[in-house]
Amino acid sequence: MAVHRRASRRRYVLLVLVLTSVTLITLDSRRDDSGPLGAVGRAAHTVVSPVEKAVDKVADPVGDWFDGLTDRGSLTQENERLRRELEELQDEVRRAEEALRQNRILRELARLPILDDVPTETARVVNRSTGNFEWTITLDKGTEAGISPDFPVVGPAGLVGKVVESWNGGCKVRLLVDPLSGVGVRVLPGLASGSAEGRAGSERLRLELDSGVAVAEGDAVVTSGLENSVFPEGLSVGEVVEIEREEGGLGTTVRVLPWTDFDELEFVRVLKWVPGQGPVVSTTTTTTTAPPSTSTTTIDEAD
Amino acid sequence: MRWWRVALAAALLVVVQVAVFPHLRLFGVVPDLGLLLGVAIAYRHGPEAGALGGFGAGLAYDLFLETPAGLSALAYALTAHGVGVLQAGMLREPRGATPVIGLVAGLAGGLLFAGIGILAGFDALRGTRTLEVIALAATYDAVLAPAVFALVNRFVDADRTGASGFTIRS
Repeated sequence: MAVHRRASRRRYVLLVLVLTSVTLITLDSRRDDSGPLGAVGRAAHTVVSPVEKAVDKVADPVGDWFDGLTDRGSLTQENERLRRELEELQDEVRRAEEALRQNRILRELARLPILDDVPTETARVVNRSTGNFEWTITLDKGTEAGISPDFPVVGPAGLVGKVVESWNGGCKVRLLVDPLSGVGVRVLPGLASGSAEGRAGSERLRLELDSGVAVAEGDAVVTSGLENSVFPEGLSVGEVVEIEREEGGLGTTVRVLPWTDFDELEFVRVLKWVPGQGPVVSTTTTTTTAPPSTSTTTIDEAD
Repeated sequence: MRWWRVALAAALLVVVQVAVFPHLRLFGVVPDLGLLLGVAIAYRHGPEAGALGGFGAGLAYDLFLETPAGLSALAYALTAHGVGVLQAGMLREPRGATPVIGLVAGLAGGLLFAGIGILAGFDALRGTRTLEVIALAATYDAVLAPAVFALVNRFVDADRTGASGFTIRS
């Protein structure tokens, strides 16, 4: 009798746990991070943030030391190669600066938004994906620096992703390669555009295009900035590395390799840009005039 | 077993999981310390206690993940419950069993996590890479299982078992 009662209680406990879990999964699948679960999550992040930063401070130099120990020979060769490349690139930079100057003048004439006008926040990467099925990074700045969800994040080589969660002392950024990530892009030099999406475990993005579009390996891919796009126009994304044309002219699948090396990111810039609205202008700083075609969102940095 | 000690152990393991193990990835994966905690409790105290411990640790871990809250909790609770039921049917404890338990629990927990996640509409879990990740994470779990079992032995059950470990079942 006692054994039977104990087995019944065991099943009852398991049933309660299963029902609770299913309820939570259902509620959280519809979340926008504004409910009680989102608040608890942000509180947990706020508590753990100092530990993440402290561990990063210890782990980074140790990791670098081990890398230096194992890669010493190749580092000398790499150093020589990089010096040669630097000389070549310095010439290209001078030409690019002139092109940028002309681009800025033309954009002002056409009344298009200029990325230089978007306020930014430089932040350090203190942690990477906490789970096995997500591709994210954690930054050391959050709501206290005026960083909100949906702000785009860029690195030295181009677009990194967007902020999905922010709390006091940090924020989480979903990388371009995350399967939940999608970015409106344009393939240069043509006008082919579509949505480049991440794929689980792949370092390449998948982009579906119409069958007739002219696209070649090595073409540059930038954000399209179409209406209500999460990202502003013209951010570097990557380059086309593979093209598959469907039989019967059903379409073209393009693989895009992001220029950003997500494993090596140390510092990034968060663009204070609200999708569909434009750059954020803080009330605590001097207000700047936005381009005529761009609306401006005001966020009080106090919150 | 004292539940405040279980809660403290779960909190500690989740903080280590979230703050330390992303820097200690093996072949690109992190282990499931919360799952191991639930399984270790189930092995010592039976399926009911294991399911509760796994559920708590999984729910705490869920707060830091992009997957829906409750997914890890459910997978950990079911796995720990299963391990507890299987352990109850064993006549004697085989030597060096903890890494094997860690491996099997890691595989079962990973498959449950992915399966329920896909049913819940989290399409990021589809694909062959998922199976590879589950297998690698389970291997990592096998390596760390003795340490987590020892933690349960010496911290959660310290007042009942002394230093001898797996001797008393509630």
